[in-house]
Amino acid sequence: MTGSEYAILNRWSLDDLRSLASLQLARAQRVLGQPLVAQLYLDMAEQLSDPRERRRYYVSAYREARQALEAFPSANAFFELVLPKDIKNEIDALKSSYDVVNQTAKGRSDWDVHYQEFLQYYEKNKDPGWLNSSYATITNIRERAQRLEEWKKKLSGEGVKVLEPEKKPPPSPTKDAIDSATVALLLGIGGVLLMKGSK
Amino acid sequence: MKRSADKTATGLIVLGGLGLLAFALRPQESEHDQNEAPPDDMSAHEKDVLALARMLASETDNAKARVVIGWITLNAARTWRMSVYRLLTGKSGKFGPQKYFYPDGKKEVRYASTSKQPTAETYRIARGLLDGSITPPGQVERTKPSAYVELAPASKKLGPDGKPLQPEYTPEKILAKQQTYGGIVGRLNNWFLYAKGAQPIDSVEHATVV
Repeated sequence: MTGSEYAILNRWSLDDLRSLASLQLARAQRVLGQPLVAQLYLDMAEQLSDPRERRRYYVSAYREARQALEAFPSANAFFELVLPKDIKNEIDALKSSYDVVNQTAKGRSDWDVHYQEFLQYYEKNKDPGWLNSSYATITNIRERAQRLEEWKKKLSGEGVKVLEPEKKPPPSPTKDAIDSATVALLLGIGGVLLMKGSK
Repeated sequence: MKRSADKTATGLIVLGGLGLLAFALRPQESEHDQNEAPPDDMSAHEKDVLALARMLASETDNAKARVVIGWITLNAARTWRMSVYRLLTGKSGKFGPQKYFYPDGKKEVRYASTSKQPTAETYRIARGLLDGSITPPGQVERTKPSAYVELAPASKKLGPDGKPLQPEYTPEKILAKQQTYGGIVGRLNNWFLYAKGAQPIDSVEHATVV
Protein backbone atom coordinates (compact mmCIF):
# COMPACT_ATOMS: atom_id res chain seq x y z
CA MET A 1 0.00 0.00 0.00
CA THR A 2 1.21 3.52 -0.78
CA GLY A 3 1.56 6.39 1.67
CA SER A 4 -1.38 8.19 0.08
CA GLU A 5 -3.57 5.14 0.59
CA TYR A 6 -2.70 5.12 4.28
CA ALA A 7 -3.47 8.84 4.41
CA ILE A 8 -6.91 8.23 2.92
CA LEU A 9 -7.67 5.32 5.25
CA ASN A 10 -6.69 7.47 8.20
CA ARG A 11 -9.44 9.92 7.28
CA TRP A 12 -12.15 7.26 7.19
CA SER A 13 -14.52 6.73 10.09
CA LEU A 14 -13.89 3.66 12.25
CA ASP A 15 -17.16 2.11 11.11
CA ASP A 16 -16.23 2.50 7.46
CA LEU A 17 -12.77 1.10 8.08
CA ARG A 18 -14.21 -1.89 9.90
CA SER A 19 -16.61 -2.53 7.06
CA LEU A 20 -13.85 -2.25 4.45
CA ALA A 21 -11.49 -4.57 6.34
CA SER A 22 -14.26 -7.15 6.91
CA LEU A 23 -15.26 -7.09 3.25
CA GLN A 24 -11.68 -7.44 2.05
CA LEU A 25 -11.08 -10.27 4.49
CA ALA A 26 -14.24 -12.11 3.42
CA ARG A 27 -13.21 -11.84 -0.24
CA ALA A 28 -9.70 -13.04 0.46
CA GLN A 29 -10.91 -15.99 2.51
CA ARG A 30 -13.42 -16.94 -0.16
CA VAL A 31 -10.77 -16.84 -2.89
CA LEU A 32 -7.94 -18.45 -0.97
CA GLY A 33 -10.02 -20.81 1.16
CA GLN A 34 -7.75 -20.56 4.17
CA PRO A 35 -7.57 -18.59 7.42
CA LEU A 36 -5.61 -15.36 7.17
CA VAL A 37 -3.57 -13.34 9.62
CA ALA A 38 -5.87 -10.43 8.76
CA GLN A 39 -8.57 -12.14 10.82
CA LEU A 40 -6.33 -11.86 13.85
CA TYR A 41 -5.91 -8.12 13.35
CA LEU A 42 -9.64 -7.70 12.90
CA ASP A 43 -10.38 -9.64 16.10
CA MET A 44 -7.86 -7.57 18.01
CA ALA A 45 -9.37 -4.34 16.74
CA GLU A 46 -12.77 -5.47 17.98
CA GLN A 47 -11.41 -5.92 21.49
CA LEU A 48 -9.75 -2.51 21.77
CA SER A 49 -11.39 0.61 23.12
CA ASP A 50 -8.74 3.15 22.11
CA PRO A 51 -9.95 4.49 18.72
CA ARG A 52 -6.41 5.11 17.49
CA GLU A 53 -5.37 1.56 18.24
CA ARG A 54 -8.52 0.16 16.69
CA ARG A 55 -7.87 2.18 13.56
CA ARG A 56 -4.32 0.83 13.38
CA TYR A 57 -5.54 -2.77 13.58
CA TYR A 58 -8.35 -2.28 11.07
CA VAL A 59 -5.85 -0.83 8.61
CA SER A 60 -3.51 -3.76 9.26
CA ALA A 61 -6.35 -6.24 8.69
CA TYR A 62 -7.22 -4.55 5.42
CA ARG A 63 -3.58 -4.43 4.32
CA GLU A 64 -2.97 -8.12 5.11
CA ALA A 65 -6.13 -9.27 3.35
CA ARG A 66 -5.29 -7.19 0.32
CA GLN A 67 -1.73 -8.44 0.17
CA ALA A 68 -2.94 -12.02 0.43
CA LEU A 69 -5.23 -11.46 -2.52
CA GLU A 70 -2.64 -9.62 -4.58
CA ALA A 71 -0.43 -12.70 -4.42
CA PHE A 72 -3.22 -14.68 -6.03
CA PRO A 73 -2.80 -14.48 -9.84
CA SER A 74 -6.42 -13.94 -10.81
CA ALA A 75 -7.51 -12.07 -7.70
CA ASN A 76 -8.71 -9.09 -9.66
CA ALA A 77 -11.37 -11.21 -11.27
CA PHE A 78 -12.95 -11.61 -7.86
CA PHE A 79 -13.47 -7.92 -7.24
CA GLU A 80 -17.05 -7.21 -8.04
CA LEU A 81 -17.77 -4.03 -9.95
CA VAL A 82 -21.31 -2.98 -9.17
CA LEU A 83 -22.79 -0.18 -11.26
CA PRO A 84 -26.22 1.44 -10.83
CA LYS A 85 -27.41 -0.56 -13.84
CA ASP A 86 -26.54 -3.78 -11.99
CA ILE A 87 -28.55 -2.58 -9.00
CA LYS A 88 -31.47 -1.83 -11.31
CA ASN A 89 -31.30 -5.33 -12.80
CA GLU A 90 -31.14 -7.00 -9.40
CA ILE A 91 -33.93 -4.98 -7.81
CA ASP A 92 -36.20 -5.54 -10.82
CA ALA A 93 -35.49 -9.26 -10.78
CA LEU A 94 -36.26 -9.34 -7.07
CA LYS A 95 -39.51 -7.46 -7.66
CA SER A 96 -40.53 -10.06 -10.27
CA SER A 97 -39.78 -12.86 -7.83
CA TYR A 98 -41.80 -11.13 -5.10
CA ASP A 99 -44.73 -10.55 -7.45
CA VAL A 100 -44.79 -14.19 -8.50
CA VAL A 101 -44.64 -15.46 -4.93
CA ASN A 102 -47.37 -12.99 -4.03
CA GLN A 103 -49.71 -14.60 -6.57
CA THR A 104 -50.13 -17.62 -4.35
CA ALA A 105 -49.14 -16.23 -0.94
CA LYS A 106 -51.36 -13.13 -0.80
CA GLY A 107 -54.03 -13.11 1.84
CA ARG A 108 -51.74 -14.41 4.56
CA SER A 109 -51.37 -11.51 6.97
CA ASP A 110 -47.67 -12.05 7.76
CA TRP A 111 -46.75 -12.32 4.08
CA ASP A 112 -48.90 -9.31 3.16
CA VAL A 113 -47.05 -7.13 5.70
CA HIS A 114 -43.69 -8.37 4.39
CA TYR A 115 -44.71 -7.84 0.75
CA GLN A 116 -45.98 -4.29 1.41
CA GLU A 117 -42.74 -3.41 3.15
CA PHE A 118 -40.82 -4.70 0.12
CA LEU A 119 -42.99 -2.65 -2.26
CA GLN A 120 -42.19 0.49 -0.29
CA TYR A 121 -38.50 -0.34 -0.45
CA TYR A 122 -38.78 -0.99 -4.19
CA GLU A 123 -40.50 2.35 -4.84
CA LYS A 124 -37.73 4.14 -2.97
CA ASN A 125 -34.89 2.35 -4.75
CA LYS A 126 -36.23 1.46 -8.18
CA ASP A 127 -34.22 4.16 -9.98
CA PRO A 128 -30.70 3.73 -8.67
CA GLY A 129 -28.02 6.17 -9.76
CA TRP A 130 -24.47 7.08 -8.84
CA LEU A 131 -25.62 9.85 -6.55
CA ASN A 132 -28.49 8.18 -4.71
CA SER A 133 -27.22 4.61 -4.28
CA SER A 134 -24.07 2.86 -3.14
CA TYR A 135 -22.60 -0.60 -2.74
CA ALA A 136 -24.69 -0.89 0.42
CA THR A 137 -27.82 -0.78 -1.79
CA ILE A 138 -26.93 -3.99 -3.60
CA THR A 139 -25.92 -5.65 -0.35
CA ASN A 140 -29.34 -4.79 1.00
CA ILE A 141 -31.08 -6.13 -2.11
CA ARG A 142 -29.17 -9.40 -1.80
CA GLU A 143 -30.10 -9.71 1.84
CA ARG A 144 -33.72 -9.22 0.81
CA ALA A 145 -33.35 -11.87 -1.89
CA GLN A 146 -32.07 -14.22 0.80
CA ARG A 147 -35.05 -13.36 2.99
CA LEU A 148 -37.39 -14.11 0.10
CA GLU A 149 -35.79 -17.53 -0.28
CA GLU A 150 -36.49 -18.14 3.41
CA TRP A 151 -40.08 -17.07 2.86
CA LYS A 152 -40.42 -19.46 -0.06
CA LYS A 153 -39.22 -22.33 2.11
CA LYS A 154 -41.60 -21.33 4.86
CA LEU A 155 -44.55 -21.03 2.47
CA SER A 156 -43.75 -24.36 0.78
CA GLY A 157 -43.54 -25.98 4.19
CA GLU A 158 -47.03 -24.68 4.92
CA GLY A 159 -48.44 -26.16 1.72
CA VAL A 160 -48.45 -22.99 -0.43
CA LYS A 161 -47.49 -23.62 -4.05
CA VAL A 162 -44.57 -21.27 -4.71
CA LEU A 163 -44.16 -20.18 -8.34
CA GLU A 164 -40.97 -18.99 -10.04
CA PRO A 165 -40.75 -16.02 -12.45
CA GLU A 166 -40.29 -16.79 -16.14
CA LYS A 167 -36.70 -16.35 -17.24
CA LYS A 168 -36.27 -14.12 -20.29
CA PRO A 169 -33.31 -14.84 -22.58
CA PRO A 170 -30.78 -11.97 -22.65
CA PRO A 171 -31.04 -9.73 -25.75
CA SER A 172 -28.51 -10.60 -28.44
CA PRO A 173 -26.91 -7.66 -30.30
CA THR A 174 -26.28 -9.89 -33.35
CA LYS A 175 -29.92 -10.91 -33.35
CA ASP A 176 -30.96 -7.24 -33.10
CA ALA A 177 -28.84 -6.39 -36.16
CA ILE A 178 -30.32 -9.34 -38.08
CA ASP A 179 -33.79 -8.22 -37.02
CA SER A 180 -33.14 -4.72 -38.39
CA ALA A 181 -31.94 -6.18 -41.69
CA THR A 182 -34.98 -8.48 -41.86
CA VAL A 183 -37.34 -5.54 -41.29
CA ALA A 184 -35.59 -3.61 -44.05
CA LEU A 185 -35.86 -6.56 -46.44
CA LEU A 186 -39.52 -7.19 -45.58
CA LEU A 187 -40.28 -3.49 -46.15
CA GLY A 188 -38.77 -3.72 -49.60
CA ILE A 189 -40.58 -6.96 -50.51
CA GLY A 190 -43.86 -5.64 -49.09
CA GLY A 191 -43.54 -2.48 -51.18
CA VAL A 192 -42.92 -4.46 -54.37
CA LEU A 193 -45.90 -6.71 -53.72
CA LEU A 194 -48.11 -3.69 -53.07
CA MET A 195 -47.08 -2.08 -56.33
CA LYS A 196 -47.61 -5.30 -58.24
CA GLY A 197 -51.04 -5.62 -56.68
CA SER A 198 -52.02 -2.08 -57.66
CA LYS A 199 -51.05 -2.53 -61.34
CA MET B 1 -45.37 -2.50 -70.58
CA LYS B 2 -41.91 -0.86 -70.49
CA ARG B 3 -43.30 2.07 -68.54
CA SER B 4 -44.79 -0.30 -65.97
CA ALA B 5 -41.45 -2.15 -65.58
CA ASP B 6 -39.64 1.19 -65.11
CA LYS B 7 -42.15 2.17 -62.42
CA THR B 8 -41.57 -1.13 -60.59
CA ALA B 9 -37.81 -0.74 -60.78
CA THR B 10 -37.98 2.85 -59.47
CA GLY B 11 -40.26 1.75 -56.62
CA LEU B 12 -37.91 -1.08 -55.80
CA ILE B 13 -34.92 1.25 -55.68
CA VAL B 14 -36.79 3.74 -53.46
CA LEU B 15 -38.00 1.06 -51.06
CA GLY B 16 -34.64 -0.68 -51.00
CA GLY B 17 -33.08 2.67 -50.20
CA LEU B 18 -35.57 3.21 -47.39
CA GLY B 19 -34.81 -0.26 -46.08
CA LEU B 20 -31.08 0.40 -46.14
CA LEU B 21 -31.71 3.71 -44.37
CA ALA B 22 -33.66 1.94 -41.59
CA PHE B 23 -30.80 -0.53 -41.22
CA ALA B 24 -28.21 2.22 -41.12
CA LEU B 25 -30.14 4.21 -38.51
CA ARG B 26 -30.05 1.48 -35.85
CA PRO B 27 -27.98 2.54 -32.77
CA GLN B 28 -24.26 2.44 -33.43
CA GLU B 29 -21.13 3.62 -31.70
CA SER B 30 -20.25 7.22 -32.41
CA GLU B 31 -17.11 7.58 -34.46
CA HIS B 32 -16.31 10.79 -32.66
CA ASP B 33 -15.92 9.35 -29.18
CA GLN B 34 -12.30 9.09 -28.18
CA ASN B 35 -12.33 6.24 -25.70
CA GLU B 36 -8.94 5.19 -24.47
CA ALA B 37 -7.61 3.00 -21.70
CA PRO B 38 -4.63 3.76 -19.43
CA PRO B 39 -1.37 1.88 -20.09
CA ASP B 40 -1.45 -1.72 -18.81
CA ASP B 41 1.71 -1.33 -16.75
CA MET B 42 0.41 1.72 -14.86
CA SER B 43 0.05 1.16 -11.09
CA ALA B 44 -3.41 1.17 -9.52
CA HIS B 45 -2.59 4.42 -7.72
CA GLU B 46 -1.44 6.17 -10.90
CA LYS B 47 -4.60 5.02 -12.67
CA ASP B 48 -6.61 6.69 -9.92
CA VAL B 49 -4.60 9.90 -10.28
CA LEU B 50 -4.99 9.89 -14.06
CA ALA B 51 -8.72 9.14 -13.95
CA LEU B 52 -9.38 11.86 -11.39
CA ALA B 53 -7.22 14.37 -13.28
CA ARG B 54 -9.10 13.64 -16.51
CA MET B 55 -12.44 13.91 -14.74
CA LEU B 56 -11.54 17.31 -13.23
CA ALA B 57 -10.41 18.58 -16.64
CA SER B 58 -13.63 17.30 -18.24
CA GLU B 59 -16.13 18.53 -15.67
CA THR B 60 -15.16 22.16 -14.97
CA ASP B 61 -12.55 24.85 -15.52
CA ASN B 62 -13.07 26.37 -12.07
CA ALA B 63 -10.23 25.53 -9.67
CA LYS B 64 -12.37 25.71 -6.52
CA ALA B 65 -15.11 23.59 -8.05
CA ARG B 66 -12.50 21.04 -9.10
CA VAL B 67 -11.39 20.59 -5.50
CA VAL B 68 -14.96 20.20 -4.26
CA ILE B 69 -16.23 17.78 -6.89
CA GLY B 70 -12.95 15.85 -6.76
CA TRP B 71 -13.36 15.45 -3.01
CA ILE B 72 -16.98 14.28 -3.44
CA THR B 73 -15.79 11.81 -6.08
CA LEU B 74 -13.27 10.27 -3.68
CA ASN B 75 -16.05 9.80 -1.15
CA ALA B 76 -18.27 8.26 -3.83
CA ALA B 77 -15.54 5.74 -4.69
CA ARG B 78 -15.54 4.76 -1.03
CA THR B 79 -19.29 4.27 -0.81
CA TRP B 80 -19.24 2.22 -4.04
CA ARG B 81 -16.24 0.24 -2.79
CA MET B 82 -14.26 0.64 -5.93
CA SER B 83 -11.17 2.51 -7.03
CA VAL B 84 -11.50 6.03 -8.41
CA TYR B 85 -10.35 4.66 -11.77
CA ARG B 86 -13.14 2.08 -11.84
CA LEU B 87 -15.75 4.53 -10.59
CA LEU B 88 -14.90 6.78 -13.51
CA THR B 89 -14.40 4.19 -16.24
CA GLY B 90 -16.92 1.50 -15.22
CA LYS B 91 -16.60 -2.02 -16.54
CA SER B 92 -15.07 -0.88 -19.82
CA GLY B 93 -12.01 0.53 -18.06
CA LYS B 94 -11.83 3.17 -20.79
CA PHE B 95 -11.89 6.93 -20.42
CA GLY B 96 -14.50 8.92 -22.31
CA PRO B 97 -17.87 10.62 -21.90
CA GLN B 98 -20.08 9.86 -18.92
CA LYS B 99 -22.44 7.99 -21.20
CA TYR B 100 -20.24 5.29 -22.68
CA PHE B 101 -21.36 3.19 -25.64
CA TYR B 102 -19.96 -0.27 -26.27
CA PRO B 103 -19.42 -1.37 -29.88
CA ASP B 104 -22.56 -3.54 -29.70
CA GLY B 105 -24.69 -0.50 -28.83
CA LYS B 106 -25.06 -1.23 -25.10
CA LYS B 107 -24.49 1.81 -22.93
CA GLU B 108 -23.03 2.34 -19.51
CA VAL B 109 -23.43 5.51 -17.49
CA ARG B 110 -20.32 6.20 -15.48
CA TYR B 111 -19.98 8.48 -12.47
CA ALA B 112 -18.62 11.42 -14.48
CA SER B 113 -16.97 12.27 -17.76
CA THR B 114 -13.25 11.64 -18.33
CA SER B 115 -13.29 12.64 -21.98
CA LYS B 116 -10.67 15.39 -21.77
CA GLN B 117 -6.93 14.95 -21.40
CA PRO B 118 -5.58 15.93 -17.95
CA THR B 119 -3.65 19.16 -17.51
CA ALA B 120 -0.72 19.88 -15.20
CA GLU B 121 -3.17 21.71 -12.92
CA THR B 122 -5.75 18.89 -12.76
CA TYR B 123 -2.91 16.41 -12.12
CA ARG B 124 -1.77 18.57 -9.21
CA ILE B 125 -5.26 18.76 -7.70
CA ALA B 126 -5.89 15.04 -8.23
CA ARG B 127 -2.65 14.08 -6.48
CA GLY B 128 -3.32 16.51 -3.65
CA LEU B 129 -6.84 15.17 -3.11
CA LEU B 130 -5.65 11.57 -3.13
CA ASP B 131 -2.80 12.15 -0.68
CA GLY B 132 -4.90 14.41 1.54
CA SER B 133 -2.76 17.54 1.09
CA ILE B 134 -5.64 19.33 -0.67
CA THR B 135 -8.95 19.58 1.14
CA PRO B 136 -12.19 21.37 0.26
CA PRO B 137 -13.53 24.45 2.10
CA GLY B 138 -14.52 23.83 5.72
CA GLN B 139 -18.23 24.12 4.98
CA VAL B 140 -18.02 21.31 2.43
CA GLU B 141 -16.17 19.03 4.85
CA ARG B 142 -18.72 19.87 7.53
CA THR B 143 -21.87 19.33 5.46
CA LYS B 144 -20.45 16.31 3.58
CA PRO B 145 -22.23 16.67 0.25
CA SER B 146 -22.55 13.42 -1.67
CA ALA B 147 -23.95 14.77 -4.93
CA TYR B 148 -23.44 17.73 -7.22
CA VAL B 149 -25.26 19.04 -10.26
CA GLU B 150 -24.36 21.88 -12.60
CA LEU B 151 -26.99 24.38 -13.66
CA ALA B 152 -26.40 24.23 -17.40
CA PRO B 153 -28.08 23.71 -20.76
CA ALA B 154 -27.92 20.28 -22.38
CA SER B 155 -24.62 19.49 -24.03
CA LYS B 156 -24.51 20.04 -27.77
CA LYS B 157 -22.71 16.75 -28.25
CA LEU B 158 -25.12 13.90 -28.90
CA GLY B 159 -24.57 10.24 -28.14
CA PRO B 160 -25.21 7.45 -30.64
CA ASP B 161 -28.73 7.25 -29.19
CA GLY B 162 -29.37 10.80 -30.43
CA LYS B 163 -29.70 12.24 -26.92
CA PRO B 164 -27.38 14.89 -25.41
CA LEU B 165 -24.44 13.36 -23.54
CA GLN B 166 -25.31 15.68 -20.62
CA PRO B 167 -28.97 16.55 -19.94
CA GLU B 168 -30.19 20.08 -19.28
CA TYR B 169 -30.42 21.24 -15.65
CA THR B 170 -32.79 24.14 -14.98
CA PRO B 171 -33.30 25.78 -11.53
CA GLU B 172 -36.53 23.74 -11.19
CA LYS B 173 -34.74 20.49 -11.93
CA ILE B 174 -31.93 21.44 -9.54
CA LEU B 175 -34.48 21.96 -6.73
CA ALA B 176 -36.43 18.80 -7.60
CA LYS B 177 -33.27 16.71 -7.28
CA GLN B 178 -33.38 17.38 -3.53
CA GLN B 179 -36.00 14.65 -3.23
CA THR B 180 -33.45 12.11 -4.38
CA TYR B 181 -30.09 13.51 -3.29
CA GLY B 182 -31.01 15.36 -0.08
CA GLY B 183 -31.07 19.10 0.57
CA ILE B 184 -28.81 21.62 -1.16
CA VAL B 185 -26.01 22.54 1.24
CA GLY B 186 -23.93 24.80 -0.94
CA ARG B 187 -23.41 26.51 -4.23
CA LEU B 188 -20.20 27.06 -6.08
CA ASN B 189 -20.77 29.17 -9.20
CA ASN B 190 -23.27 27.03 -11.11
CA TRP B 191 -22.57 23.88 -9.14
CA PHE B 192 -25.09 22.86 -6.48
CA LEU B 193 -24.06 20.51 -3.69
CA TYR B 194 -26.49 18.09 -2.02
CA ALA B 195 -26.21 16.17 1.24
CA LYS B 196 -28.40 13.31 2.43
CA GLY B 197 -30.54 14.29 5.38
CA ALA B 198 -30.04 18.04 4.82
CA GLN B 199 -33.06 20.36 4.79
CA PRO B 200 -34.26 21.19 1.27
CA ILE B 201 -34.30 24.82 0.15
CA ASP B 202 -37.09 26.35 -1.93
CA SER B 203 -35.11 28.55 -4.30
CA VAL B 204 -31.69 28.16 -5.88
CA GLU B 205 -31.02 31.74 -4.77
CA HIS B 206 -31.10 30.56 -1.16
CA ALA B 207 -28.20 28.19 -1.58
CA THR B 208 -25.23 29.10 0.62
CA VAL B 209 -22.27 30.18 -1.46
CA VAL B 210 -19.24 28.02 -0.67
